[in-house]
Amino acid sequence: MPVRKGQLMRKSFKFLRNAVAVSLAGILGLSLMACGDKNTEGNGSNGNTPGNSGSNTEGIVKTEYAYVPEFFDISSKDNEGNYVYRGQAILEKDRLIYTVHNYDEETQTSSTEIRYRDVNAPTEEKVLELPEFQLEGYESSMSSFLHDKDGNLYVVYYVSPPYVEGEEYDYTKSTTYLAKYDSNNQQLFAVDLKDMFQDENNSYIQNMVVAENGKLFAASNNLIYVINADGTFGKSIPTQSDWIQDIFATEDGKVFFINYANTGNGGLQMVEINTETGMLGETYKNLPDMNAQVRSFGGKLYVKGSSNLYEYDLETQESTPVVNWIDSYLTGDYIQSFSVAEDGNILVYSHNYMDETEELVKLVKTDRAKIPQKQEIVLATLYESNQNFQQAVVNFNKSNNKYKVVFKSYISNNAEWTETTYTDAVALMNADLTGNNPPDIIELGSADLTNLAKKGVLEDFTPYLNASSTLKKEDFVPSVLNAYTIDGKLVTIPRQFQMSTLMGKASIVGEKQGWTIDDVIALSDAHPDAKLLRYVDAPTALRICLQYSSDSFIDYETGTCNFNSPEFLKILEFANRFKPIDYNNFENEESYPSMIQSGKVLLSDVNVSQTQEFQMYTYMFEEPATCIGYPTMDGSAGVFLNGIDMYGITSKSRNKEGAWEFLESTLQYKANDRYSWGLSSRVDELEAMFKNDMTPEYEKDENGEIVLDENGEPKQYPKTTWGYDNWEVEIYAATQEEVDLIWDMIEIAKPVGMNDETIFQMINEEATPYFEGQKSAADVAKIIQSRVEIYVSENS
Amino acid sequence: MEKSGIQKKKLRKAGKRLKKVKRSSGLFIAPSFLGVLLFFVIPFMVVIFYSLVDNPISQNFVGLENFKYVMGNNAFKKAVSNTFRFSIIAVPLAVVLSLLLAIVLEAKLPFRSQFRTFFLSPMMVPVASIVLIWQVLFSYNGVVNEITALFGVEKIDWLKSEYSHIVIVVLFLWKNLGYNMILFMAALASIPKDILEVARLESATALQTFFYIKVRYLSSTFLFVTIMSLISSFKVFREIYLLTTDYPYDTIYMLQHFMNNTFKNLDYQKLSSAAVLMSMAMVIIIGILFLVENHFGKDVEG
Repeated sequence: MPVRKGQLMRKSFKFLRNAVAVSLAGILGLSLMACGDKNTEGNGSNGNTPGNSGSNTEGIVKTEYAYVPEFFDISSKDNEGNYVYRGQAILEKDRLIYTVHNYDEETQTSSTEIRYRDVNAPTEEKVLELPEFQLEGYESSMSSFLHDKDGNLYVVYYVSPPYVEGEEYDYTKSTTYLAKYDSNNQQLFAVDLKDMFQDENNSYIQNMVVAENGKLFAASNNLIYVINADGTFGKSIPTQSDWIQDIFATEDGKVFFINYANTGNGGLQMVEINTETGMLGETYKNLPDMNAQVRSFGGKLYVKGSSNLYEYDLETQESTPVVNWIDSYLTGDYIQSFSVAEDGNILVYSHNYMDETEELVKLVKTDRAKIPQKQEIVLATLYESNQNFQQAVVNFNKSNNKYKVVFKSYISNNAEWTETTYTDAVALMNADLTGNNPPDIIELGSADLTNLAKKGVLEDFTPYLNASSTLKKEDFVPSVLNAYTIDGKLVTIPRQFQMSTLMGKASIVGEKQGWTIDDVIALSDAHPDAKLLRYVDAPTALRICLQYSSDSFIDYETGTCNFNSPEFLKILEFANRFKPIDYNNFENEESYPSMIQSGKVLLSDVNVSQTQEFQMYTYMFEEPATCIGYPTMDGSAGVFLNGIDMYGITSKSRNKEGAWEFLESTLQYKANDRYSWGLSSRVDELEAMFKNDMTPEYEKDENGEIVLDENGEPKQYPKTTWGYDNWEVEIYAATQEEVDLIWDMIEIAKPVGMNDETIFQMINEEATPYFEGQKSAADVAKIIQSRVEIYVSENS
Repeated sequence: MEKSGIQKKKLRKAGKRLKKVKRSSGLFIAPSFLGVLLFFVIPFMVVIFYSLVDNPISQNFVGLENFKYVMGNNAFKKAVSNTFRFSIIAVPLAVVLSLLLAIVLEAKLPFRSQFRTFFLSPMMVPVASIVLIWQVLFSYNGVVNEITALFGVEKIDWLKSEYSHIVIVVLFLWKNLGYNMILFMAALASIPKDILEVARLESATALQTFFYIKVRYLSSTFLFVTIMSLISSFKVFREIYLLTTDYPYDTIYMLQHFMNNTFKNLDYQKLSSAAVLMSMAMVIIIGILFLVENHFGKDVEG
């Protein structure tokens, strides 16, 4: 019995062993397959998979100290209430010094002066009294200035003859002077730099510094000029680059310039200049931001980037974040100048050029633990956010006591761009979105919005709108809401939108909106000597035909498509009529409006982001025109809608209320408060804009009476002037018909989904050999059908 | 009483030693066990979890719905059929051809060392270079079409037509034959010489010796080579992907394309159900291979 039992045990053990071995083999096989994918990532010649290179996730910088801001509004206005235009501004140790441009309406002359404010009493503005710099018969204006360590002031003046109406302006008489003043503002010299500017690409000074030996190093386009302490020209230093971004000197007088490397992977670099010989010295890499401004304080180098202020170590060539601008309620791109004091506090001069507000900000270094903490709302963006949205975040953070929005971007401004940078960043973002610590808000402008919505990543805005005390659905343009309602969920509301469509003369395309691809082909056949559009090659024509017709070839329900159908072959053959664009012949070409007016070009691409822009296109045709739209299979009009500033709340967010509170605040912004190169999604703002655009501005005489024209009609002032090529037109108040046309377009406009982008990419890739005459239309249609059907089937 | 006391003491000592051995064995095994647990078992459990929920965000339990969807999905079916077709052609070819090469190179051939190096060299070439070579050869304007054009043959789009399957099989064989060949050569060399000598004395023909002795001694190597080739055949996605991106011509759309694309599209539930189905298929196939090996090789292993 014991023997049999042992045998049984051995058998069952053997069975167990084999079962485990088989299971492990299965798991191993599966895992090894996954390994295959990982290996692909690094080697990808076509690399589209998530990989290990290129992407540079910029997380949220959490420094030990926080910098608590103290704001001083230093915006100033002239007598008429207009903001005073400031040129160069430099934060020196104890003062902010800047140039101010004045224009005298009476004498119609402009002048520049240097003013300054004491940082400890910034409300008071003083003028730096300099002897007048005036050349007989010339006008002069300051373009840049600099104080050296001894208190001497260098000023660059642009000197030019005055403009006389009716006479041709002689640019050759213009020149640049460099003047030096001592600490008592007495002029030491003023030299004409005309002889120095031998190279016409380097005939200006953008920035300058003084070295420890008193020599002045002035950066132009890609040359650095050395001017001796007595004002004589020293030499010019070629920088082996296309563009000098900045030049700066350390406190001990070493001079560096910043440029883009022409070798290796490129990127921004600092190069030291030997101040005695003018030879280029050591190069320093890894600057943390493409918009880097480097300055030296207390023996340390500081780099101002769009998101952070960094300390840069010359030895290790590495940067350490010191201040996160958003954390200190600042928009990095608005910061013009900064200085770091010995006690670690930081001074910042910020100029918001959207609303012209200027602030002097003292950032007080404070232990982070001593600051009341707010709940963080993480806003994820693929690319680092633009200054407009940063400002929206700053405004929210400043005013909200409970929440604070922080950015998390997946592609740094300074990322070395590789084939996989984008896909790697998307993979990282997807991992975050599906993981346990997802961002609360996601920027959707550069993300695959449709896919994210379909996968349930995005929260429905409807319940939030229903519960909101300040916003409701009716506040927004219905077609915009419809465009971003996916599977019954309103996943985002863009703050603004733009549209594009096709426009043609009503006498040629008819007065009715909408047409089919057959109509487009017929139009082209009827005008064999005319171009359909100014710049249209075969891929563009194919895209125009398919932009709003691809649905006719695809059935996501069944996961099938029919790109090998006669209809698609017809489109391919039509697109093939368009030859490649000759980019070398642009200069000799007739202007676009002239071609449209003479009928040499039948259609125009029309972008609508402002009423005046739309009016320009209608004026360009010089006769009634129809917004016929992109062709569709059913003959309706295709109008492309592009949402601007689109953000969604993630379904897995742990702080949805806070996320909505922030987005709600941004959707309440008035159009005038933001960069408005688009139509507002808010009905009230859109109506107000149209009303304003339709309100004529009349010319009035000295008695305030409206001036009448030769027909006895009130004489209107043009609202603005728009131009295309060498054609210009004055735009007057819009008519009701023009505004109605825009409303009509708004009603039918819709976006083109990212899904379709993938399909367009495949179609374009495969159709190219046909357009190049290498394959037949049927051959490429067969390949397109094969590839696209897999995609459609996967996503069905 | 004394005796039993000594025995007890000895037993206690032996027990202690056994415990010590067990403990130290456990310590030695622990890193591997933890590694397998961390990198294979737990992720596989996560995969099973995702296969049972509606999506990675809401994670609502949906039972076997994802499996139903995946099995009815045309892309998945196409991927399974292509992968199966590829494996059924490429794996036997890889095994048989490498065995033939091993036998040929085992003979006293001139330059056999050079030949061996020649067949092994694809293993040393990085994937990116392999792909580049294949692109140069088989693209529409590639070398192969240039050569065939000299004979008046029309151009073939090797990578975007039904021929693409052949190109991939050739690529797979070119890359894998060398490794398999070395395994077979080692196995052939380890067959006991006395048995072969006896066979020769017994007037066995070369074919009889091969089938009745060598094949039986090679059975475990057959199993190993087959499993490795099978795994490699699933990994051919890497080369296909680099040659033709994520949506290739449908004849070379493999299971891992499906998984890779569904991963990118955040369709983890589809990916996971496909992966679970595939691992089940792998278990069955490898189980069958074990059985076959047991059947043919048990007398050799004793």
